[in-house]
Amino acid sequence: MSSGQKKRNFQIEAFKHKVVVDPKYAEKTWKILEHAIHEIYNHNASGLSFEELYRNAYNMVLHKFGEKLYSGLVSTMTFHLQTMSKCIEDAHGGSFLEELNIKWSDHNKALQMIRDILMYMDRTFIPSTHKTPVHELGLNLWRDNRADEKHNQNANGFGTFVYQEDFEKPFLEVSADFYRAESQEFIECSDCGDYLKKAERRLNEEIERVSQYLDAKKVKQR
Amino acid sequence: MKKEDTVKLISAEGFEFVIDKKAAMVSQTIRNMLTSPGSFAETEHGEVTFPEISTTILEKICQYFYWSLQYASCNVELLGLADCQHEH
Repeated sequence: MSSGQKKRNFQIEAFKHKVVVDPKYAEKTWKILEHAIHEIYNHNASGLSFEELYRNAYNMVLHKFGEKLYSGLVSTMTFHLQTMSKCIEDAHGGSFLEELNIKWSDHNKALQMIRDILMYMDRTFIPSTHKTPVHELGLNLWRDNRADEKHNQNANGFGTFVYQEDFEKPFLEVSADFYRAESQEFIECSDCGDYLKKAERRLNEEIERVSQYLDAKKVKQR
Repeated sequence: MKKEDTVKLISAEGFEFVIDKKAAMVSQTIRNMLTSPGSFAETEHGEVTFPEISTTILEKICQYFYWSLQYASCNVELLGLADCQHEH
C-alpha cells in the first residue's frame, strides 16, 4: 500500500466545505461571528441566521481555529460587559437596581444565544483543552465585572439601606415570632432544666447562624 | 398538520421539506435553534435554510427524524438489538 506517499485528507462531513486555502479564512470567519455577538448584545439578532453562525463556528473549530474563536469570545464579551457596567454606574438610587436587573437578564439572554451558536465548540474544543464552557465563562466574566471597585461604591451605599428596610426588619420580626411560639411550646412540655438546655442550644445555634450570614454589627444586636 | 407545529427545512438546491416540529427537534442543534431565547431569523419565519446540505442528504435526514421518533420509546429487546447494546 502506498499510503505513505499520498497526503490523506479525511473529511467527515458529507457535503462540500470551504477548503482552507485562504490564509485569512480564520480572520474573516471570526469577523462574522464577532459582528454577530455585537448584534446579539444590541438586541438586534433577528437579522442573523442561526444556521450561518453555527456553521461558521463549526468550521472554525473543525479547521483548528478553536483557540482564536475562544479568545475572541472572551475579549468581545468582556468589552460588552464593561459597556454595560458603565450604564449601571450611571444610574443612581432606585433605578440602579432596576438597571442592574435589566442588564443581568440581557446578559443572560445574550449568553444563552451565544452558547447555542457556539455549541459545537462547547462540545468538542472545550473538553479537550479543559477551558471553561461558554455559559460558565459568561457568568464568571459577569462576576469579575461586579467585583470592580467603582461599582461597589455605588452598590454599598444603596445596598445597606435596602438591606435594613426590606430584609432585616421583616426577618427579625419573623424570627422573633418563631422563637416566641417555640418557647411557649417548650415551657408547656418541658421542665425547668430541660427548658434551659433547649433555650441555650437555640441561642448558640442563632449566634453561629447569624455570624455566618448577617451584617457584623447586627450580630451584637441579636 | 397545523402551521404552528411545522417547520420548513430548505436544502442547498432550494427544495423545501415541511416537517413536524417534533421531528425536527430530534436534532439538538435544530432544537436549540428553535428554542433559543433570542429571535434569530429562523425562528421568525419558521424556516431553516441549509446552504451546504444537498437535497438527497436532507431528505434522508428528515426520514431519520421520523424513524427516530417512531422507535424512540420502543423496547430495545423487541427489536432484537439487546445484544448489540451490551457490546457497547
